[in-house]
Amino acid sequence: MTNEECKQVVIDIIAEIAPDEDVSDINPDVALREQLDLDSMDFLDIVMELRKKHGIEVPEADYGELASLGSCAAYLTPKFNALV
Amino acid sequence: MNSDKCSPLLKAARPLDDEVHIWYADLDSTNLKSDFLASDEEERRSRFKFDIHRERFSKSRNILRFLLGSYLSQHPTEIRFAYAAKGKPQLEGFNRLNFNISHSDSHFIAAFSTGSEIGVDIEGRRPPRDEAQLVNRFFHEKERVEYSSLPPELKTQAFYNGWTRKEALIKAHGDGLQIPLDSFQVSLDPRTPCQILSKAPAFIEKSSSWSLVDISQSSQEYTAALAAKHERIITTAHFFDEF
Repeated sequence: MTNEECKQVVIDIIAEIAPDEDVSDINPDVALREQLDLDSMDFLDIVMELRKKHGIEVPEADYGELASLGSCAAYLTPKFNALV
Repeated sequence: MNSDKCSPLLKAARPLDDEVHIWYADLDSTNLKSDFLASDEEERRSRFKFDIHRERFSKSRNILRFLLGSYLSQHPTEIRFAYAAKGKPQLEGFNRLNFNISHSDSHFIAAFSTGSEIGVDIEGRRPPRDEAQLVNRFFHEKERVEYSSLPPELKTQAFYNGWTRKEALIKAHGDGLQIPLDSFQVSLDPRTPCQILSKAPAFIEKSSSWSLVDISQSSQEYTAALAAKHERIITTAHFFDEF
């Protein structure tokens, strides 16, 4: 999986948990919560969907890695590739 | 800067040591006549993709600035924020006024205290979530047992009780979601008092005394909770509609 494919996985999850949000043009370098109206429950929904749909576990200590789309991809891509 | 700009718009008595002032607002119906945002807040406002989110962010920050200015006898534009290591906003410099805010859709809440660190959370009723799944993944094992034993008509309120109480506690603590939500237990059942039933080591390290209060208004549209690092607190409710 490439970084871009990983970003799309995260975008797809956000689109599902926050259907009112426009996810078409998210700036990968800006925190997701500064662009979209996501609260901590939405954030934990993302964590939960990563585990449920993709088998990726994100421990509490690493939650900061999911702040922006870019940091999500940097953190999650190796985890996805380790699954293969 | 002219002298008018430096004057507070309103003076308010600060909360006493054991008091927490709670302010409620409906962001969609609050009239915004002035804009006090700093340049970094304006930049943040511009990043939101939808007008409604920009408006709500703008109103929540303006209300916060107005209220802080009233308590501190400063003009709202003079308020300077600093951010703790884990991102919790606080006032720059030394003063004894603690605050915390939360919003969910148009529901907004702000709390102010002089005697203790505080955290608030408000959650509106959004379209159905998989509450049971969130409970199973993130709640304490005894909360999971309590939730599953409740009758179906109480489960959603129990979920929101648990969520807002946990969120208020981790915000009062200051470490946010890095404190595992399943490492401490709060009451969930709407028929029982709001309380902390078991504390995580992270809370005990900070203080031996914590208070947890249900601050939901009688409306069924949202659930709200306040946590304070203080043995006993008295809350007073205020409603904000215009400034």
